[in-house]
Amino acid sequence: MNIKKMVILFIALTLVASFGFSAACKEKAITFNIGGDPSTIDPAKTSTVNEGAALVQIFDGLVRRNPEGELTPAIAESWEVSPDGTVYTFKLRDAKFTNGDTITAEDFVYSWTRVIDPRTGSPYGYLMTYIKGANALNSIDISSADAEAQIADAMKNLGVEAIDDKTLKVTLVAPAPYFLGLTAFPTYYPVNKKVVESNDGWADSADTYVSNGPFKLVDWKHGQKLSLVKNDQYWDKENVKLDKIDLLIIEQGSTEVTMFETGQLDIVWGWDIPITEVQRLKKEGKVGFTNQIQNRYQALNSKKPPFDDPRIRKALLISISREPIATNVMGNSVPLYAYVPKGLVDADPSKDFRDVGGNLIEENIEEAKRLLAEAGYPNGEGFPGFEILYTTNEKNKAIVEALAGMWSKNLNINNITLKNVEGRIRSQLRRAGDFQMTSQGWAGDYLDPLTFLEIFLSDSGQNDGKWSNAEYDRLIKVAQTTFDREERYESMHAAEKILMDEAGCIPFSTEEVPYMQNPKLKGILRNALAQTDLKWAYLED
Amino acid sequence: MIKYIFKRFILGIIVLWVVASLTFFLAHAIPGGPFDFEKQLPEEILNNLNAKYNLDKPVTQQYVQYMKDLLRGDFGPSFRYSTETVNEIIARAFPVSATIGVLALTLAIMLGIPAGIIAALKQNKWQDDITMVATTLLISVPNFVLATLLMYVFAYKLRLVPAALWGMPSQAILPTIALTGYPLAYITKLTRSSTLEVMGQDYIRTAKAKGMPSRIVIYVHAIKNSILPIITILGPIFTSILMGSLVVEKIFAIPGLGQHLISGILNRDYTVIMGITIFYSFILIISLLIVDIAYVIVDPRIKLEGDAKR
Repeated sequence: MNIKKMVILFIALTLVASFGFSAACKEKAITFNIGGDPSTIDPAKTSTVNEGAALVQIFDGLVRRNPEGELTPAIAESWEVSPDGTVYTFKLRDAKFTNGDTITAEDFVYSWTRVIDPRTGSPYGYLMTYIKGANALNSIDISSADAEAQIADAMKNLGVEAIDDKTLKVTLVAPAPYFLGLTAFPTYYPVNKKVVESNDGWADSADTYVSNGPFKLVDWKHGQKLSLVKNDQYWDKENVKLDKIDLLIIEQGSTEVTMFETGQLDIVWGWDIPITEVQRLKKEGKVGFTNQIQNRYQALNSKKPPFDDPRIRKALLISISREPIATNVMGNSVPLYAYVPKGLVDADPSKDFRDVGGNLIEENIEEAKRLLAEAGYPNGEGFPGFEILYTTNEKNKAIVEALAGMWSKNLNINNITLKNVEGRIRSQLRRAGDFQMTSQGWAGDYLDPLTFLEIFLSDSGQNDGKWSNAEYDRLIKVAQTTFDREERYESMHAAEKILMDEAGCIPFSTEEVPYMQNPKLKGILRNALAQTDLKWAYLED
Repeated sequence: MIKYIFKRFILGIIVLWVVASLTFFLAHAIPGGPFDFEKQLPEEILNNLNAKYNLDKPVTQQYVQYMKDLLRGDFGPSFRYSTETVNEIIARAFPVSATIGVLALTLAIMLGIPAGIIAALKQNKWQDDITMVATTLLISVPNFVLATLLMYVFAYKLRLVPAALWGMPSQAILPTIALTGYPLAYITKLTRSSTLEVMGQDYIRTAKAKGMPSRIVIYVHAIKNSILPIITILGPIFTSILMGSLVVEKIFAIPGLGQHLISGILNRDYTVIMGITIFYSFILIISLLIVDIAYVIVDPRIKLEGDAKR
């Protein structure tokens, strides 16, 4: 039959043509899934980890972490810190932007001021609060009549100054040992002042984009990929081994796993890998775990019953078994008997903050029962019950089910409802304080316990449960402003103890993020802040 | 004919307006806004962003503004992706979706019609049985199951084709096949029953009685008539392909309209949701109109409403 033959021929031709084509356009680029299309790649406006993943490859800050994990000079060749630890003077090296312009101290001043300027609307503006005068500038209400004048005024007091083309002077509010590390964060990257001032849409397409890192953006196919090539203007280009990198945008975790296993993807995003797959991949040795510092806890609304009663909070805090949750439910996590996870240094840099602080939570079911009885609900009788909000995710569901099960078994509380809502809805409910308990986690923005502890300040925008303790606030303020290192860490330990004594939240484990990469790829840096750095990466033959 | 087209055109505009309005209010009714992230934005930043996109105004006022922009053909900026306007997103995503959509439709027709005819002619023989089983399977299996299965077998196990993404012709194979499944089954079944019905008609019996060879009877007389019902269902088939593409695009990481619509909904990107929904409706209205007109041209027994002899 003619039609049948035609159809078969048609299909055969298409297949042959496709194979021919695919053999011809064999991609020589390293492929790295960044998990989602960046909504912007302007360092001042970025807010998501996907965007960060792209920015790390195409920008260089004052310093950069090397393969040994140490902060090494990047755009800053050397620096001096004043004896009291508040003034940093950076000497910049000879380095250029991708368009050939020399990078000057003025570019840094412009970039940082731009982030702090309330008119820019930078989501990470708060990371600059350590700089003198930044808070005052960032909190100006731009809708007020004399906003412009206020802003101009505040800028004069900002602690960032270009002494000359190659010298940048930064004055901090108080000594912050982690400040140097912060300058490696995307928000602190330098943008080209000339380019940004002359074109509002400079970051919208590869043609107008200017950066200064090991790789540069040559094409951005929205929804598909960002194409990077080695930057021939980069000051350290001899150490950059890869030629082409394609940052792919694949949102489905299962798809990215399949693409990795068929050789189409070299580096996997990791966060979206379905938890059922993680077990299998672990067995097959295909997955590794990052050393990202992240915890998991249940946030409690301290302003509404039943969690306005600290005894009830405490009872729930000490009546769960963390070991099985971390190992069985979460898969590869470590049980956490306090709030700040391991991985951060203490006053003595050779010690870990968590080790020095020790376990602040002691699991004790008898004590929990006693507390519950004291609160008026002996053996769980008459307990009003509560609702746990969690977002759509297999792991989240398993966690809340496990927790509810434990509280039921140990405290005889059987009226806990589990409510699954979508991420955005949960965000709104959290902001409105319209919840009782919700599953949370926090990943460090910078390497210091403050990044975790600041969340529970009374006026913190992330403190949805509104737990508040005046002594806690005082201790944190001390840690933020004192010039004495010992005193700093003592305050933080004391503050954490208060948080756990009052059960401001219920932490239970760390979060382990899996990753997968082509075994032939070496030299990839994954740091504790969830950044994947390909500067020193190379392909083994 | 002209009057008919004109009437349909006016009706189409009304439908588009209703769709746009419904979608607008529904989208805004879902809790959560475009700037509600996991890591909460500082209050001032959130307020500034909402003000910039007029999200702090009453919904009815936003609606009026949106309709005004719509009349000028401006779908607005994307809230989530500040580098693109919705018009730009549709312009680059539509060709992608259209490619697999048209390929799937073509494949479904080119395979389905012959399959249906063969099944009808060989009724109750093994060709018919196999076809019936296959079509029932394809109709019952949801296309995302089919998609994942195809990916697993042909990309993962057999390494014949790439698993996902877009850019090269080989990457269009699996998604097209996944999308073809349901329409193919539907067309096959319909062709089969329609052919059976035609074969039982008087004029076929007359042709055979006249001594015409079987082949001519089938090709010249039967087929033409049996594919008529296919044209009617092209409309719904087209719809199912459009809707099916939503999931298929997500699974195969294809940057088409469907994927952007899903992302838009999850991101509460109101303008993207509106733009793509209105665009989809527009495509559907046009294609339904074309199908209706084609039907009239192909079958002389059908007269368009209003064209009846006075």
